[in-house]
Amino acid sequence: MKNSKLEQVSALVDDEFPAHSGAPVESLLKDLKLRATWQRYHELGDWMRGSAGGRVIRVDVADRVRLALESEPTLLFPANRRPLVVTPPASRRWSQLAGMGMAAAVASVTVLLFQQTAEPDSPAVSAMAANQPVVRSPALTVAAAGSGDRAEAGADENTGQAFQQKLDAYLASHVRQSAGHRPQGQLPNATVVGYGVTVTAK
Amino acid sequence: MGRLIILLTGLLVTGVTLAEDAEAWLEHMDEAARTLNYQGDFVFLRGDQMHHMQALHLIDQSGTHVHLTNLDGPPTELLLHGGSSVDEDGRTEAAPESKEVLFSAVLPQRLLALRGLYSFTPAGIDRVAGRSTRIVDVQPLDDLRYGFRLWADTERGLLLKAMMLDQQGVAVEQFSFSRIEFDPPPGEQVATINESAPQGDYSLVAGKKTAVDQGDWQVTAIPEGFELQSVSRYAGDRQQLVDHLLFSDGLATVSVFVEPLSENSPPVVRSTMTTGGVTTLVGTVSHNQVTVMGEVPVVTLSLILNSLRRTGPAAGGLGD
Repeated sequence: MKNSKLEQVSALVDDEFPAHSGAPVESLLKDLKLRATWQRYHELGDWMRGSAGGRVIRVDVADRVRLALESEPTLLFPANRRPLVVTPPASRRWSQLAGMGMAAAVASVTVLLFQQTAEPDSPAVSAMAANQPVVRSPALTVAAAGSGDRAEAGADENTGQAFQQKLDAYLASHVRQSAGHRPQGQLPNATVVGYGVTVTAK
Repeated sequence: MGRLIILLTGLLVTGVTLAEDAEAWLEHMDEAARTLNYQGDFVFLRGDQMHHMQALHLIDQSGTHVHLTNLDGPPTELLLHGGSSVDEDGRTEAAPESKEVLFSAVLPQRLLALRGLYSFTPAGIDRVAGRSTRIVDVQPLDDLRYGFRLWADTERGLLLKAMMLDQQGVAVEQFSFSRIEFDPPPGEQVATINESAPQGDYSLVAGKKTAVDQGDWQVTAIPEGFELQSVSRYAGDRQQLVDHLLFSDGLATVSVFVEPLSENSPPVVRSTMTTGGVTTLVGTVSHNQVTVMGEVPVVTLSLILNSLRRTGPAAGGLGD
């Protein structure tokens, strides 16, 4: 395709084609490639002017992503696989415990990352550890007492929701009662102070 | 042989000098925290949680004034004036034992009080908040508590940065000033504090000690420096009474929760967990679920749990 013909198509699109040269216009539009170019130039011009209406093809990326995902194979995990990050609805319970809304310090421990770890060897625990098998599950390692089966059942119990809620309550109580007994970089009384309440001493 | 003795003596003297130098810096930090006027911004990190705080510390004839502002989350402030505080009923009363609440003031003070349990070593120089600092390493003499690394302002002595480190040297808690200004201009800041008269409802409950009574339980082995601070009892999730014993050495706190297990209770597996700077150990003692948690190594929690004994009529033995 010669550049001169493309220039003629461009001039035709821009309405700059000489009005008296009707024959070349018909010959241009008979050429399928030039006709496609003429149409593409119009679509581009409309798109650039924002007047495309329904003629410009809209690419729905979200739909394409969704379709792509649907075509992906489903990954199956073991049913007993537990997430390491547990986010219990702790703030509500702690609010009830404290009798008021919890402030920043307590909020800081509402997202609990309970990493189960074995107790390290030390003189204080070595005797105890000697008779305790270490039971491993996909997400945790527990230094357990008793038989492996019993320990594994207990491990499940120790990571259950009721157990986590109990630990939440204990942790809230520990944080609350610790205020005043240890150095705090954060507000010492924030554990019992409600939203927007100013603790003032004068 | 003579040279060896001289060399060993020299090393010993150097070691003692370094320790004295480090302890002198700790005393310098303590004095600076109690006497300097300053304001600044600091970050407090505990586990994966981070808080930005703003601190103002002023001293005048009426005493120490502290204004702490939480820069993250819900707006919360703490104001302390002179040597008094307002209790939850709005009555003015004498302040708790220590009117210092800032980390920079409390930590050196309490470390000095426990100096027999730690060794102090100078660890070089560094730069914090744009200022030159001296580093002091504080190592526990046992494996039952965490160590510290402290950064003191070279010129003024104030503690600008601190890390609480576990046995592996991993930071459990840390705080660091990002901006510090000494001797802030009086007037506006002081006026702001003095005009902050008590308004509305107050909730100030910390600093009050519950009557210490060990109740039905006794911990027979606990690291030196730790003392029982309070004993409380409340209803647990199954309407079982839960005993809560709180111990502290002034730097860390340890809670012991004891809850009776029912006949149908599922077995409790001895296990440890960590969240933020708090480590938790769960076990059983005399058919009671015992949960020990605190800002100490798990070895310490284990020591405490293993030594828990029932002192009441139905006294039991050691942990199952």
